[in-house]
Amino acid sequence: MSFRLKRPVRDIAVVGVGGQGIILATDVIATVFLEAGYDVKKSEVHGMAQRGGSVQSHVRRHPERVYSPLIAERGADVLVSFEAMEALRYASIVADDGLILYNTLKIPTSAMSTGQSPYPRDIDERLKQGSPKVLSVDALRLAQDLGNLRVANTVLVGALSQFIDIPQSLWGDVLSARVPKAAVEVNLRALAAGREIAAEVF
Amino acid sequence: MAKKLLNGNEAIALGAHLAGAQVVAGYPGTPSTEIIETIVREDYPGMYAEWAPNEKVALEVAIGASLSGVRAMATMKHVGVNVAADPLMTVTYMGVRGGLVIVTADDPGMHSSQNEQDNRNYARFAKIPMFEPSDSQEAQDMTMRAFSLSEAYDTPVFVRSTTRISHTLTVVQMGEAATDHPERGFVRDQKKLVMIPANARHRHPAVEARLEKLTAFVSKADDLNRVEFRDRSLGIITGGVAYQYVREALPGASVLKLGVSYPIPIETIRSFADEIDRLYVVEELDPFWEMEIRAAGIDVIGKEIIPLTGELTPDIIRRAIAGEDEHQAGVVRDDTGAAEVPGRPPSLCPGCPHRGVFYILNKLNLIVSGDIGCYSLGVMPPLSAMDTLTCMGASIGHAMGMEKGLGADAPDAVAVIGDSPFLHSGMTALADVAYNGGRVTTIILDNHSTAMTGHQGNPASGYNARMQEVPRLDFTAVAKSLGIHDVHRVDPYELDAVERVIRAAQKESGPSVIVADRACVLLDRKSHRGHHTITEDCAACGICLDLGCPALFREGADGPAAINPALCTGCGMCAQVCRFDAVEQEGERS
Repeated sequence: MSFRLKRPVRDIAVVGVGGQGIILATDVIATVFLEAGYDVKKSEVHGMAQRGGSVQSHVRRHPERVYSPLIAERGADVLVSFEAMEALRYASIVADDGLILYNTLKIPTSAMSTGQSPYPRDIDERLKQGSPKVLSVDALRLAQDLGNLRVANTVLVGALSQFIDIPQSLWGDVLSARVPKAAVEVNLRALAAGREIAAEVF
Repeated sequence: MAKKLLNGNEAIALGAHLAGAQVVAGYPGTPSTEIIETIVREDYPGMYAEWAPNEKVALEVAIGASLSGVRAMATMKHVGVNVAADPLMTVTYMGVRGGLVIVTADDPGMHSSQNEQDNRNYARFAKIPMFEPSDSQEAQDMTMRAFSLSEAYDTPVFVRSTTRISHTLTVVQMGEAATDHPERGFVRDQKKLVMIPANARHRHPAVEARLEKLTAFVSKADDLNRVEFRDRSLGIITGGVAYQYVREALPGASVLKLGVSYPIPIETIRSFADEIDRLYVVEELDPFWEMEIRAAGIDVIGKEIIPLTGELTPDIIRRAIAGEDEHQAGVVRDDTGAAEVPGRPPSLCPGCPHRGVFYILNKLNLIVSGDIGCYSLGVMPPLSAMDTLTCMGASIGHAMGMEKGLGADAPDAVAVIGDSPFLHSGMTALADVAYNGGRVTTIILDNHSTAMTGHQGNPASGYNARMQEVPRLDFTAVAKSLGIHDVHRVDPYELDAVERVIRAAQKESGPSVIVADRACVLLDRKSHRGHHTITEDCAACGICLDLGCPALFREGADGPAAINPALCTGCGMCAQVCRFDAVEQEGERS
């Protein structure tokens, strides 16, 4: 048990690369908050940025009223990044006593693919220079172990859920309603696997 | 009734449904697209929805429906209103029968647009009211209200959303279905509906008189224009999503929230100002309210400190008004070096059929005027094969003008235009090329859908808004009937054929049309042909990387090429450009 967040997690930024499934993941988070009785807002970006660009979505909850759909700089309790370098790009949104939860998956940009510039090394070190806690998850490997690469996002949502004061059963119910019937079982296992990883540090 | 999480567009669709709207027409455009998609998905009973070829047609359809005595709505993005401005500026004279609502979804910050024009200006220009919701609940409620107001004042009514309203999910308590529907049926009234000059002259005074009545209405509409007194030393006039930012950034400030952007209640503002020591107006983009407030002699601070461009955020407002320190003000955290993270621009998808055309255009180094769509990304390196982009349908006219400007000795200008933009407003320009002796090579990138906004149908896609099969418009027949004799069809995956046909079109003395015909790779997954791999024969020359395919990468700085099997769709373009025969197909076409 290495750390615990000092306050209830209210403001979550989820970032990654267009096409990674950020809209579905944040839909699940927002729906869990709604069903747990909170006011919720969730912002997202559609359109051209979805074609492989850098994308972000903010989910906010409050017992009474959420105003801005956007989280202020250094306002996020948790940053969930579906891709390693994107965690670095959006690190400044996290509060000093917040958490950065990122997938170690590396997706190169086109300039990197063609050898014009290198993928940044030392991402973990650079993130850890900042004040927020940092938790890296190899979600793709965990998904592979579960036999379905497509549940990597669910692993990350599972890890996030460990830091939120809402029972796992509600996360499972909301997720089950959102994925195809045949994929419910593997998604529930991915959710549990993610929670387990996070529980090791929580 | 249970509470639901809806984005602003879904809430507008729901509001139209609850208001009993029966005809909705729109043209897809971020951030407006999901309004019609929601109507189709929810299959609201008795509601007809269509994708029109452009926004002008969409509004004209909605006007016709209104005149037939049903509630009608037209939906579009902000720049779409430019296209629809012609019927807009005259339907304001004609008025309505069934409530007529026009949704404009603006895009401050240009997340997915070519400009960030502030469409509140259209309300003043057309002299019609504009509602401006600040969350999805208001989007539902105000859309319903807009229909009633439209009928009560015999006027079209705008509902303005912005990206942060359209694409934010917020909690909505579903409203009750309206019962105040108009009576169906067309009533002949030529003096009001046939805008020949003699009739229109009588209608203009009616527009001015209506605006006076609407101004009187908003002055009393305290539920729409809401005063929230808190600390009276600081007061903010605001509206739309900026209201949410103000409440977040300055929770103690008094607020006058404008729910109707035009006309504004100047007397309500004056009495609010009288109570406040320091008064600000916080509005995204133009000083639209600020100018009217100042013109009324009310002292207010606005664009001196609030940015005129881009989106607002709580951080910007806090910094401008509360003047808090840099820590609060959103300076990028320097301890992680986030400022030095390499950019990640969007790119054409692996297997995108547009890639073949842009690869060849880059190779031939022609001047290319572009258009609006996914293929705008053809400007990005390494393809870099686009030289102008203005608006929907502009490519062909630009190419024509450039050709006339550069003179007879210059190579033929090239226009690239998607299937949907061609039908939106490219056809008339092609008629111009044929009519006025142009030599332009027009390449229609026909991927069988309006892809960038999410594969909506269009008259050439073979399916309509409800995904029902319909006949496909034939581009080659259209081109020929517009007067283009040199018309070709080519598979953009076949690079040699693409090059041959473009070279031939350039040699042809008259104008040419090339239809690059292949469905969007995301639409037609059946076309995926397994994936390719790079063999040991790779000489690391890097020529395949010039395709800019996200599935292709180089191992190390100068190493051989490799293919990401998870991304590769097996289109085979890299195999065609490889000079060492080092690309092999793996897996069969499924």
